[in-house]
Amino acid sequence: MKKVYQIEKDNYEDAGQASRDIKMTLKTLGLDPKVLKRVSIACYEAEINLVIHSNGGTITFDLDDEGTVHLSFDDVGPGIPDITLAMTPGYSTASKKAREFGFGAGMGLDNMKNCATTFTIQSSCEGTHLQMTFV
Amino acid sequence: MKHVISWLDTKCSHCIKCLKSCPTDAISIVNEQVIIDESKCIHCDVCIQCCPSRVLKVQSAHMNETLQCHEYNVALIPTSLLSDMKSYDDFQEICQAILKLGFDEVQHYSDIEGFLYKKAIQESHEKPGIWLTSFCPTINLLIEKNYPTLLDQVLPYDYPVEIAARRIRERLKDVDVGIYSLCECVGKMTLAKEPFGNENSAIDYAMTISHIFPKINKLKDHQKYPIKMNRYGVKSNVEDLFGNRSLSVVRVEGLNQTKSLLELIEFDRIQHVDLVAMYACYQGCIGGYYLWSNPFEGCYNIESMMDEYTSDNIQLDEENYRIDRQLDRQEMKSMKERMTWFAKVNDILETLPQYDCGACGFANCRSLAQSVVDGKVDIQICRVRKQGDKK
Repeated sequence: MKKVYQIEKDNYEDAGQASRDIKMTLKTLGLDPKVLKRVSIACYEAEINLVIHSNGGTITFDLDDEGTVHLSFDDVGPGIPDITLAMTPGYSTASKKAREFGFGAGMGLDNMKNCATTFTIQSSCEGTHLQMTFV
Repeated sequence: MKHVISWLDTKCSHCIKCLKSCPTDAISIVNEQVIIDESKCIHCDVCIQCCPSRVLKVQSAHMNETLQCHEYNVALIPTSLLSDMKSYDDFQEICQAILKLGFDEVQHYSDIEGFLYKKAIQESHEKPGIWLTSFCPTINLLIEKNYPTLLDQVLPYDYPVEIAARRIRERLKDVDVGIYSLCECVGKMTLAKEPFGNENSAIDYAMTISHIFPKINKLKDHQKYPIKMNRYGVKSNVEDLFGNRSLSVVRVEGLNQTKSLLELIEFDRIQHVDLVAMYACYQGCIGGYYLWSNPFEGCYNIESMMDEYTSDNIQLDEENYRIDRQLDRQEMKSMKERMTWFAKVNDILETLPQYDCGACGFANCRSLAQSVVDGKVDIQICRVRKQGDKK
């Protein structure tokens, strides 16, 4: 079961809608609450990242027959210059505007990695590709 | 458990207000019968209140026959009852009138509420993360049914009224005692063996406070029953009085606001708070449907008596108040089968207008689509779709 969501750059008002829809779908399907909790937190965090930092992109949600959740976040740039630094808790490049909305505490990537069962990230100036799975 | 809210079909106008207002989409109307799905119902009072024909009712236990069944009868009174009183004397006179109904003892449980109130603040502060607490059975059911991911963040405390009943049984263990809980709201009515068959409860009978009010109003005179209410227990009952207006404790009232907050917590977006206190009713328990006054004035009434309440604390042992809130996960079909079902629901949904008009008897098009897939109803009951076919 697959669904793709378009995410717009700097659209703070609608930020989180894709995560809400994914959470709703998984609840209706009766996914184990312990897994759902991790999916919700990581998905929301990553969606907000797309809104704040990227030039826009997509979220692809996939649920396989075994109940494993696959999420991939693909944007069109500008890329993360130093992934190791970005993974450091507390490190943030969020704009003043983002911080005013309460986002950008700098815990995002690290938090997602802790939630996900597998976590991979590649980035270049053409875009960042983040994949997570949840079992 | 039996059905809590029952439908009397006599004067029902089939106006669909109940199914449109239900916060959990538990109501449907099929073949002109109002059906309340007990697996979804959280025992709030929204449908009862919105029904213009007054055909949704909650049964109350009748004490006339049962009082003779026991050697000794105890009435447990809700703390929120204070909000209906103009003075503490008034309150003690009402308690005496309740005794005169035929009870041997009138008991309160504000001391237990006070203990758990302080415990919740302390425990949530000491442990990392955000904790949820509610004495409201409706809120706890809402979390269990619709926000199961948050169950492990709910402080594992039993209901004060249940703890009180167990303590009475312990104290009077050689006596055949009948325990009655007078309830200010629909949710609390479920915490008793009768009338809804909650066999795990230590309470024998639940009665609405409004049900006995005409009788106690007649029995009330200047005699007072000596009863000391606990200040912290009182605070735990009123949304405005819970906590000390600090960011570490957040209060929320009403089902819609509570749902919004729970959504945020599910996404881990509430980060500077230790404890969330939740109430289904406006202003907390003093907004209970069966109180005869109103929470708008009630809040001031209860606060004006603050000097009368005692600050003495009781101590409870962990085994007396802690409970294990485990999610009872039913045997479910495999994920593959569930996904097939979900895909079918979505396919049917695509053929429906998705105005969520409710004319078919379901709260929204998705609920109708689910019932069609489950083989319970025919898709032809959608009037809008039928109209489109004709054109």
